[in-house]
Formats: sequence, structure tokens, C-alpha cells
Amino acid sequence: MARRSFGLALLCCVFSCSSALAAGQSADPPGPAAAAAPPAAAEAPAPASTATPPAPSASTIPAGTLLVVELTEPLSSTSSKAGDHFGLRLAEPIEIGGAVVVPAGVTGQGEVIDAKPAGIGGRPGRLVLAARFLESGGQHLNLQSFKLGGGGRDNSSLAVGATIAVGLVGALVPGGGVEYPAGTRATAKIASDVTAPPSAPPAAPSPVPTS
Amino acid sequence: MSFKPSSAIIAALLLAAGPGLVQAAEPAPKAAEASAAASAVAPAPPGKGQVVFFRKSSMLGFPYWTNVRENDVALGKLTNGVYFVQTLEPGVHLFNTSVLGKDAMKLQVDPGETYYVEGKITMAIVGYTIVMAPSDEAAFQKAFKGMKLGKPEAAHSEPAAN
Repeated sequence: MARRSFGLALLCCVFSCSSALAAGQSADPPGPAAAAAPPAAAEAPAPASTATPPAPSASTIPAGTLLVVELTEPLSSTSSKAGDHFGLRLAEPIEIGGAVVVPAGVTGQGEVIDAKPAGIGGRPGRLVLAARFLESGGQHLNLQSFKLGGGGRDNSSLAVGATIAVGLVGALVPGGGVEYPAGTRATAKIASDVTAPPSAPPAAPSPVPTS
Repeated sequence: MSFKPSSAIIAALLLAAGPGLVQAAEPAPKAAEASAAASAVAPAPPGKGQVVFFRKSSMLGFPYWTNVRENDVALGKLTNGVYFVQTLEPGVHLFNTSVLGKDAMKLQVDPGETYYVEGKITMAIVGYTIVMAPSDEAAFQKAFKGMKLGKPEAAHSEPAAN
């Protein structure tokens, strides 16, 4: 009888221990798993961080990105000469994925490619410009595809009319010059892929001196 | 002669609708011209730029013409109402014309871009001359009707100065 009761007691003890172990296994995981999760999570991004060597805030501005720039000084076909440099300012920030990578206001430089004042005979003035670069965070963002340069008012018809009416006087009719006031907006494109400097502060809006 | 009220109503309706019909019909040719002008100039080949030289059709100085040259190489002929497209290496190019007076114009050509240069007749001391002026797509589209395609004289692919 005592042996039988001991056996029953042993069975009960074994059953209770096994059920307790089973319950512990099902109940335990949240604790250790939660504790183990951070290392797993910490291990996961490790390869990603090695895939992007620069600082997390740096972004690549792809070649061909269209920018809106503005002149920081007035330009004229009368006073400008080929080879002159003029100031540019980024009029609208460059955004990559909704984040500003280059703020509006950073300055740069353009070059006068060709300039010719208006002449007699109704000949229009001419001013051909090119954007060269913007400077942001000590880095040059090379530019191309500047769209602004144009020709002046063509007075040739007036000159011909004057010639018909008053003879050679028509040859003295001047053409129209090209005038761009400071702040005139134009477009340009990023010339080649560039890693944007991390959130450079906008430069003071001081005009770049014309050389 | 009998007056029919129905005729009067129809006439009134036509009069009222007339300006509207004209206004609705007007943009169509402009859009057609713009698309024709756009389709006339294909995008620049990869890595190169192109320049569209054009001279709108006009009675002013129509007998005069000039070759557009670069480094003594004729690129194309600018006669009255003609345009031609020249593919060029990126860089700064210097174009020349010569008709009773010379003209030279520098242009920065960037890859993938199309530039427009208009040949304009102006008065010289004796007769006329043709000068070049930077232009744009809108001016080309406006002048496109009445122009015909001229052939570029040479495929000019020398590397340009930067």
C-alpha cells in the first residue's frame, strides 16, 4: 500500500514537473525573446551600414537634376564681355526623396560665353551665358545646360522701313540690347553625379564679383 | 418676302456660336505646328549636343543667304525659310557667317541639349547682312510653318574646346 501510494505520488510529481516545464517553455519565450531581439535587430542593419559608407545624411544628386538659379547681378550685352564671370544663386532648394540636400541661397558662378552690343542697321544685341558651378559645403556642384541667354530686339524691319522712307538713315537704326536684371531666373542641370554635402547652411546672398 | 422666325433663331444661334467656334478652332493649328516642329527635331544623340539653325521665311532680304561655318568648315546653308540641325561635340563652338559683313557667335553646347540659333537679316551700309542670334524652341515653333529642312553640309564631330 505504501509502495502504491509512493508510486502515485511519484507519478503526480513527474506529471506536475512536466506540465510545469511545458508551461514554462510556452511562457518563457517572450522574456528571453524580447531580450534576444535587440541583438538580432542590431545584427541585421550591420550589413546595410557597410553598404553606405558616407554619413547617413549624405545623398547623391544625380546628373541631369534640373535646378532653378538666379543671377546675383545685372547683365547686359552692352557691358558684358566674353570670358566675364557672374554670380549665380540657387533659387529653389535641391531635394532628394523629399529631403533638402542643398538649401536655396547657395552661390556659384557662371560665365559669359559671347556678348555683342546692339549695332546699327537694326542689329540685335547678343548675350550667351553658361552656368559653371554652385558651391555648397566647400564642394563644387558642376552645372551645365544653362537656359537663359538670348538675343535682343530685332529692329531690322524698322531699319528697312526707314531706309525706304529716308534713304541710308535706316542703316543707323540701332537694334535692341539684351538686359537681365539681378534676380532673373534660369535653369541649369547638375553635370555629373555628386554626393551632396550634409545640409550645408545657405550662403550669405552677396554677389560674386565679376572678373 | 416672308420672314421665318425659325431662320432668325438659327441665324442668331450661329452668330452667337460663331466666335466660340473660331476660338475653339484657333489653337488646333498652333498645337499642330508645335508638334510638327517638335517632331522635326529629334533628341540629341547620347553624349552629344545639337544646334538647330533656322531662318524664318520673310520677304526681307530673301535673296541673301550664307553658309554657317565653324573652323572654315561649312555646316549648312541658311537661305530664306530654311532650318538645319547640326550634331556637335559638347563644348564651346564658334560659328561664323559672312554676307556683306561678318558675324561670329560662340555657343556652349552641352550633351543631350538642343540649342536654337536664328539667322536674322539686318541692314549693312550697302544691302543686307545675316547675323546669328540665340533663340529658343518657342521661336522655332512659331517660325516652323513656311520653313523647310535644309541639309547640313558636313557632319562636324571635332572635339570642341571647353
